[in-house]
Amino acid sequence: MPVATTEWFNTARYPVPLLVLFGVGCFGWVVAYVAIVRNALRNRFLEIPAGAVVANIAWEFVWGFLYPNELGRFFSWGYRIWFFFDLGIVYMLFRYGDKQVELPELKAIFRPACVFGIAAWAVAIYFFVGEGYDTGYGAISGYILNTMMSALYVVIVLRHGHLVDFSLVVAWSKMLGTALLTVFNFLVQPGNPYLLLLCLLTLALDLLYIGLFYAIRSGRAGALEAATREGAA
Amino acid sequence: MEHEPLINTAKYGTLELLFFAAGGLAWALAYMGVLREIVRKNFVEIPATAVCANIAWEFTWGLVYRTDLGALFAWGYRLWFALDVFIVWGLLRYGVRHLATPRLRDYFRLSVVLAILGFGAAIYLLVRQGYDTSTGLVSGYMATLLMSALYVPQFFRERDRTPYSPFVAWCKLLGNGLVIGFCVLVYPENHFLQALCAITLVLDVYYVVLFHTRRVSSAG
Repeated sequence: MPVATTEWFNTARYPVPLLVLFGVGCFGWVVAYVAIVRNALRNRFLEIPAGAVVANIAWEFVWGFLYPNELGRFFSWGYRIWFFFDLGIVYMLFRYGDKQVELPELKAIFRPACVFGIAAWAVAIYFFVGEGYDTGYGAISGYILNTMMSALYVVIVLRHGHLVDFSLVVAWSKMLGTALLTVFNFLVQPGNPYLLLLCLLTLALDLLYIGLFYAIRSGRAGALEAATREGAA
Repeated sequence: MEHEPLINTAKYGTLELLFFAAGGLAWALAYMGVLREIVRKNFVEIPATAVCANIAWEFTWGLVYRTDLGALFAWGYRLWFALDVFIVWGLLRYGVRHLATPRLRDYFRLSVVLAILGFGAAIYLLVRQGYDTSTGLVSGYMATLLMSALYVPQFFRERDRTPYSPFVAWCKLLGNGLVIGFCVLVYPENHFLQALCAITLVLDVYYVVLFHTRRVSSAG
């Protein structure tokens, strides 16, 4: 179980430069969230995969409201701010998210499936933390979701086929945000190879996504782009 | 070196062992059902990502770590692995059928290999980190939940649902249900595992209901 701290910044355990590093990484994700909502409003298409949205909001709820953050109260509030940003994304999910699936049968169950997904992830993460599997700031559960999200992003950009609905700002800010948090984890949790592996897998998938984005945009991945269009047609 | 019993009755009760053995047998039958469809219809019904996670789990728990249920069960895990090797072979050979974009097949086999390696490394380290039970069921149910969740959208996506096997659907549900019985008896205090079991069971029941309502209408 995470240890509660009454300090705004737990500098007794985490030196200031490390907390700054973590804070900047988190800010990268705020930039990504804002760009995701802005693009969803403009394109009427939500680029972040539905499976990742339901896991994310559940994680932010559990870590923002149900468990204390070992890094300090400031970061608990940071997680809550993420949560409130993410509520906007969840709204977009319920409004435009069914465009991520093509089949009418899947569209019909899309919203109930999202509700079930949020509830299931919340319960699983709550007990994962309660069982003592997580770090004091939610890194392991967070990176399980992050790895899944990064893998789904690669799949969705290939499947959807219209690059105009995806944002390079999101691609970079999520990669950089995650990368800074990865550096933080390498410094703080060197004895947790499971977490560090998740960090590296996420980074590799994020870089693959950015590489794919540029390759498709520049036309160098002609066959791939044709394939995605064929798939979308 | 301490002698390993054939069946670890010192740590596990008879009812618990029976639940696990019956569940494991049901899973072996499910794998055989999947293999039969691979041979007869060149069709792998288990979602590709789930196959990758499964074989990685079976390799890790069958050959790298050892369950404390006893030697018989350790060989049972290896039997699962051996059966799953053929499913992976079927996936590499016929799995491209699941892709929505047929011309992406060039990347399919590489993705499968990388996913198996990724899952294998993650499960190996998760166990080493001490997050698993001595029977591998925390990582096992993470992989099973993934499979149960992926079965539903894949089933919807297939235009022709006739190759999907009712035998596999029921064996999977039965296998999970029985092993869940084992988890409830042996790990009542591990609420995370209980949560994974409950979510998996809901998804499996939903799949069976879906299967019998949609497959019939699809075939009709």
